[in-house]
Amino acid sequence: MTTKELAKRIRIHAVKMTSAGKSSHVGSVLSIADILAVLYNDILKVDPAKPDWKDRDRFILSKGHAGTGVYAVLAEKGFFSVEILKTHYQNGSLLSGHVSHKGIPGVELSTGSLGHGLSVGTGLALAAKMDKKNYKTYVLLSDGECDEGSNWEAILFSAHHKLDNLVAIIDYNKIQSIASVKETLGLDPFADKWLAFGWDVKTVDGHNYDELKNALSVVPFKKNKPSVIIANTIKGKGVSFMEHMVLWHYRSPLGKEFEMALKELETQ
Amino acid sequence: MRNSFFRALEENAQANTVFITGDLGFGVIDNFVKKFPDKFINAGVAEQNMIGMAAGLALAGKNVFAYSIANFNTLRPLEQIRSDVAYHDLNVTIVSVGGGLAYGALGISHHATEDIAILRAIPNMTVFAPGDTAEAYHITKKIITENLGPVYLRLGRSGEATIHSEESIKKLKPGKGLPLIESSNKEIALLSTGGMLETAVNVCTRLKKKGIESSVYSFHTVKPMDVDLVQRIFKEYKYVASMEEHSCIGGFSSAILESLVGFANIKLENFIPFALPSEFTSKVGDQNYLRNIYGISPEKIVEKVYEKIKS
Repeated sequence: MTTKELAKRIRIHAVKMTSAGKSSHVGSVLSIADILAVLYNDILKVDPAKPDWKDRDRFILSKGHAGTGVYAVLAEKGFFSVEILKTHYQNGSLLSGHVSHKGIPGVELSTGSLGHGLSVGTGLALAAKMDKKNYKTYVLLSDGECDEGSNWEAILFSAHHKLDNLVAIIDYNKIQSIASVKETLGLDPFADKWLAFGWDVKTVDGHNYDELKNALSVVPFKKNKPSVIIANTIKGKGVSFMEHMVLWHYRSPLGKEFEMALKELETQ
Repeated sequence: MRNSFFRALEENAQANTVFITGDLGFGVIDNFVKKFPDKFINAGVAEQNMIGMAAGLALAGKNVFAYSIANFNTLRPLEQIRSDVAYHDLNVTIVSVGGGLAYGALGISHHATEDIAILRAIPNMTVFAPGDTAEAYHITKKIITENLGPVYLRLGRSGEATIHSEESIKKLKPGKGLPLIESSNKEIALLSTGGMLETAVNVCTRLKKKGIESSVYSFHTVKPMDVDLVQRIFKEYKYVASMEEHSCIGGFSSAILESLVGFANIKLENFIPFALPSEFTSKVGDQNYLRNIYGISPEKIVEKVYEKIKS
């Protein structure tokens, strides 16, 4: 399956799951679908037959509200049956709205409260250094999540300890829960902040497979420094009436909107 | 207790042992750092990251001890403890020094008086509050060698007595209360958790002088509670007193009462819980001074117990 096809399937699953479950955050998943597709198709050394393989790369979705994206990509990569996705958000299901590891092979960390993933990723990266293992740890964060002070504790620590096996990816779609990043807690100059904290930074188009792949393939960007990719993204990417709209942080695609979204994605 | 913890860590460290501090332990961590520089991390004054990172290390197979003064590595990163450590059922031990009023005159910020209630409410957590240096050593050893996490280990500060004999400490089992003194009659049982064990023994001696025989049980584990032992004690003894340096809400006495739900024929009117009132003290003073103010000093406990028994 091509990376483009995988991204398309993630988006279709996300729309179907949030519609059937009447759940939120479809815009947040569409924003990261291309990043997830590149990671799982081209970058991560993981094995669906051995999800607990000790030397695997670790991926953490710190913005756990986009968990349907992780469930979808894991199912498409064969960690579990695609059929299970239909149970998302239903009573008795294993697939909660925020990503959970319980009973789901391939999920490294349950998240949902923002600002947790990077610290846990820092611990995994530190353990790899201690054990002289070569796996890398990738943590995908939202931009709004960077409001959390705990992230900046992890950013300080991982730079101080030269964790060049740690990669943060920021889904920089510039829209938070109820307003834009700029209106909420501005992050710019964002790249400069990371640089000042001792990380090396690359800024890419978060929907361009080549740019994402190129950046992720040259980690660490600098020896002895953790790497961050600021991925400029579009919230709701792929469904024209959802793009750049804060509304689709919470709204579920139902009825006509569901049909329109699906039709648009299927013809891409 | 603090020194016993470090001694246990030094003497029993395994390949997967990692010790992280939130920039505390000046003068007491030196031996461990010298012996195991690769097992030591100073996370800096950043407790949320410390606990999240501990979870990451544990996910990769480490048995992690995350150390600070109580409140700093419990209340500050509580959500990391709950959602990262406990939900993922990881080998992380939150090691808090200064449980209760140990840091007396340092003030409210350093009084850990709600920690047991809060930590024991979290699923998957085991809560240990050792009663003396021997219990602190042996519980730490078991956590290291048997990977018991997630654990909350509540320690005192320093200068606590060694109450147990080499013989009595051999009977220590996580999750089981430990009888220390068993009286010939079944008049009153004194149940202690954490650093109140020395007080409980002191109370026992004082009561004896007043002609009252008492037994002393150390509950170094508050979760899971030794329900069988609690029920047996309430069945056998006429009076039961509990002692904790913790709020009266949600701590040891609450755990005792929870153990009695559905248990027939007990006399709760003869239960005398000694705990701290749910209030922030307005007084400055050392540990013993504050204990006395709040009625958990040996003198105050004996007075109240004697009054109850003789009434």
